[in-house]
Amino acid sequence: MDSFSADMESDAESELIDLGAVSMTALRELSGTVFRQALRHVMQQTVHPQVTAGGGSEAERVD
Amino acid sequence: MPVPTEDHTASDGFALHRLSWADFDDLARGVGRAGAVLRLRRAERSRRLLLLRALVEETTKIPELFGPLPSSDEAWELLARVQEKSPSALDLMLAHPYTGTWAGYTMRLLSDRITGVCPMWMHVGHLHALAAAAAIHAGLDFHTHIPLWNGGAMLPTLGLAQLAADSPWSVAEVHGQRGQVEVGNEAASVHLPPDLAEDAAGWWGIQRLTMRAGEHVLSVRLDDLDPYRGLYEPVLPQRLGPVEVDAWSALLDQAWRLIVHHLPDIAEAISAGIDSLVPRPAVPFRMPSASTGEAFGSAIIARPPDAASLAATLVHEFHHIGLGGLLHLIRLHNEDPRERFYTPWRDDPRPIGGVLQGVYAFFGVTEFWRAFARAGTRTPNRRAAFEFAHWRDQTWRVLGVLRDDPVLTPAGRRFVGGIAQRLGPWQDEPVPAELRTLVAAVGADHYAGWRIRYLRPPLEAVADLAAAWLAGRARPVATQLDIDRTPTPVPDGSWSPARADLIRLSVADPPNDRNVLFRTWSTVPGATAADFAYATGRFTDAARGYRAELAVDADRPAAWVGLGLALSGLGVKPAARALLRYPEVVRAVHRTIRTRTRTVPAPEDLAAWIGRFTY
Repeated sequence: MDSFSADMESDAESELIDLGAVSMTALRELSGTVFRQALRHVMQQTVHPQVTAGGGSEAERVD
Repeated sequence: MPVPTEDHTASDGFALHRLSWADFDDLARGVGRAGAVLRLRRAERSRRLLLLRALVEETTKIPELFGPLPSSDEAWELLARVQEKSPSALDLMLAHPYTGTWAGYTMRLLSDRITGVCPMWMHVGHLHALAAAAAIHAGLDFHTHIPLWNGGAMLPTLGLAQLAADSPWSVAEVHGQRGQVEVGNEAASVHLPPDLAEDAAGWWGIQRLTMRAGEHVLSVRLDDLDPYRGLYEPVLPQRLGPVEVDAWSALLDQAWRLIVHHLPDIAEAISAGIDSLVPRPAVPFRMPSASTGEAFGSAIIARPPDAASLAATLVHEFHHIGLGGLLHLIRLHNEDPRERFYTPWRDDPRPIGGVLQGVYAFFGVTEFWRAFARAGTRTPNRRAAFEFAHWRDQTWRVLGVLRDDPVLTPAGRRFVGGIAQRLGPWQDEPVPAELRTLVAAVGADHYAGWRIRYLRPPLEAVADLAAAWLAGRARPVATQLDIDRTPTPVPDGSWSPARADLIRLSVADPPNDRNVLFRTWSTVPGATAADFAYATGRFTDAARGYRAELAVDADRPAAWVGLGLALSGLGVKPAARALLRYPEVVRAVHRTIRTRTRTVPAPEDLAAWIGRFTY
């Protein structure tokens, strides 16, 4: 499934909920279907993190 | 609990992060402004808050996960207090790149139910270290406990207190009162200095380097301490000495001036996008660097040999960081882990995600060297012109394959199209003919080196060719070679980038002055006399040298490709064509013949024979 609005004319909309106006205290109490989906979405993203490494051979990795 | 939606699209009362297509297209074209980067940062903040909540929820189910440390509730309450007193202190901690890597790493441990580098309570308990550091930034009075790894108590963004400890994994207490902070355990205590960036007894401060060029400022932490500063696993501190810090400071200062001078339009965005560097030791003739999408704002960089290299690397990593943030918002390609692409910046086959990242990062590198080369003063900068021509050619080549790949989403195709809009016109910009020849040689060298190691020619075709050769035929019957095959993940032989290194050394010299190359070629790792002969244009000597190398080791990839390059330099077209276009076939046929007869053909005779019917 594509993770953004397919309408190329409007803004690109993500699956990430905006917590800019949410306090830590409020965040602890959030619940609901959309919030649960958002949690699953970011947890899923951690399964395969994007890692980039270059400029050296295997023996010269900086990581 | 629903959240006010402001001007965003509401979904069940929640607002969703959005990005305008104008910002998206600007990022694709490499002209994204600081505002677009800050919008990516805001999204990262939300993402990290969600991960914090998810981690606390997961660990609350199993209170013993926190071991000897307090529960997650205590850390959360401290973070809430921080936010009440100083929202910016909380934001600083959420923006810290290694808050992201810690959250991702620990979430993977919890999801997979495995233990990491340390006991699980050390990893989940890092939440207390983040809360303590935020409380120190906020100037709160507080008391908590944090993990102690090999005697080091890390306070992210601030520094590391060193305490004696009997166990590799234990606990330290942190007290903050009226601006004074003490970290201690039963064996010792450390009073943090007033200026936390300064070292003191038992304290290593994280140093901040601030570079100024005109009105543009780049301010970064030089983080050699944070356990989550690496790509994959937590790592112990690797403290830089004062001389190394000075060297980094000088290099960064010069590199920042170069960026501001040559790419003033994106300097502000780079400043918004990079806030932490992980310094690593220099690697001769290499410029390794790395980043992860989980650490928005951070790059791991080996100490470069000069400021221009560092400037190019900063631009490169800035592109990776920006794309990493964008990919958290918008899917540009579907999941496809198959390592099926050739890229000139890696020796191994890459999956589409790595290819997209590489194309975007080297598009940035191309732009930097282009601007540097065009700024040409009285003496044109040969190195900048060479690097520009090399990276524009190679990035364009890969982009041409990538843009039609069905795994890209519509947004992915739009993004790649945006890169192409800028990169395409650069293909026609003039570069001195002498440098174009060298660029072509470096490109052909790497591509042939990749083919010979990662492509396996069809067994039937190899057998046909070997049989035809042994039968003395002018050509085999109906052999088809020009099929793009899927690369194998395991290389058939090792590779040496020595020839490319030597060519770069020759480029660094003024024309007709090869002092640097002659003086230093033997220090290039893996360089042979044949490589040196090739880099100095002595193609007959080079071909002789590669024949001798193959007589010793008939499988050596770099010798087969080197022979092809040397023969190309001599104008021996059919043999050179086969060796550079189908080196894997020539070597495989040679191997087969060796198993069937004692009369081993000369490599170039066989290559010339195959080259007569391959194009």
